[in-house]
Amino acid sequence: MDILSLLVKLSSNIIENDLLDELLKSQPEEIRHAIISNDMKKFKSCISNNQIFANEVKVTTY
Amino acid sequence: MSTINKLVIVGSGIKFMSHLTIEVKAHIEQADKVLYLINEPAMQEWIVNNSKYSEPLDDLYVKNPLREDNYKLIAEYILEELTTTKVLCIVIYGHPTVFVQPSLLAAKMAIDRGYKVTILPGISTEDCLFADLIIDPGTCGCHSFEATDFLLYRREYDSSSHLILWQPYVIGMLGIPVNHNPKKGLQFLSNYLQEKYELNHEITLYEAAQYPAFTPRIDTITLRDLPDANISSLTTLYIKPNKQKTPDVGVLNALRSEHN
Repeated sequence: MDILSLLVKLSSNIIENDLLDELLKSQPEEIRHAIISNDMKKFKSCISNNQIFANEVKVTTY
Repeated sequence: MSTINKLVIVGSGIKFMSHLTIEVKAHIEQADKVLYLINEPAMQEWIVNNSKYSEPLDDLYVKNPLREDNYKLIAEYILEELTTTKVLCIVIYGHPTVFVQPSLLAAKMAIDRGYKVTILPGISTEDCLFADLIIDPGTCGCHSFEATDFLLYRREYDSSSHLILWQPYVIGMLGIPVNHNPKKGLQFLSNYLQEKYELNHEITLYEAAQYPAFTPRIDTITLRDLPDANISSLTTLYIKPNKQKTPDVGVLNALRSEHN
């Protein structure tokens, strides 16, 4: 499951920890670790820099 | 049938997809063109995948050294696009008119030029803060200021009310946020707050969860520690009341006599 699909699934379901663990198995280690450790900054950095998305995306601070 | 082009300005909320209203989702999917100012890559990607045509406004946001110049540039670009787009949707992170001057500016310019304008609200950081910190602004009032504005204009406030200070990460900075160190501004802020609060008064560093499965950052420090606080571009400061509210006895008695 790609990261965008995972986030959409997480946003529209009540997911218990065991199911979350299952869903995260298919994700890269650094993304899995960022989610488990609640590190939003790291997570955003992972999905911004690692060409996970097909389109070019940027992070803007404002 | 009207041929006037329409500008719809919408907020995406803070948490990816979870805060997107059905109404906002429909506008993003059905507008002829979508322009977006979103500081979050997953939402950017979702917009690209689910709109007819989309374009980021990021480059305009950092084009000039002064933020005010960029706000005007963005608003002018939106108006330019509106002349050739039947339904133009602008997507803004959070709430589209809360701490987002380009969208307000564009809306006012579009109305002045005779276009139809609709603004659809989104969940803001402050909305998330009320929920996550279990605070009701109605109980004792709530002041909400941009941190630099609060400091620079020495805004008056009542310390028996909640106090929320936005964007402390860029406190004291007038241009675009590049290599900015907030420590100096936070020291000035700390000095100003000490006029009403004790040094050991608690301040909450708050960051709303941006993604499902994440929890918000809620760290408590004291006013003494504010200049060295670990503050990011997502941090909002919450300062709880330090005294009980007291009624005006004259008004209270007058109101009571009205009922007797």
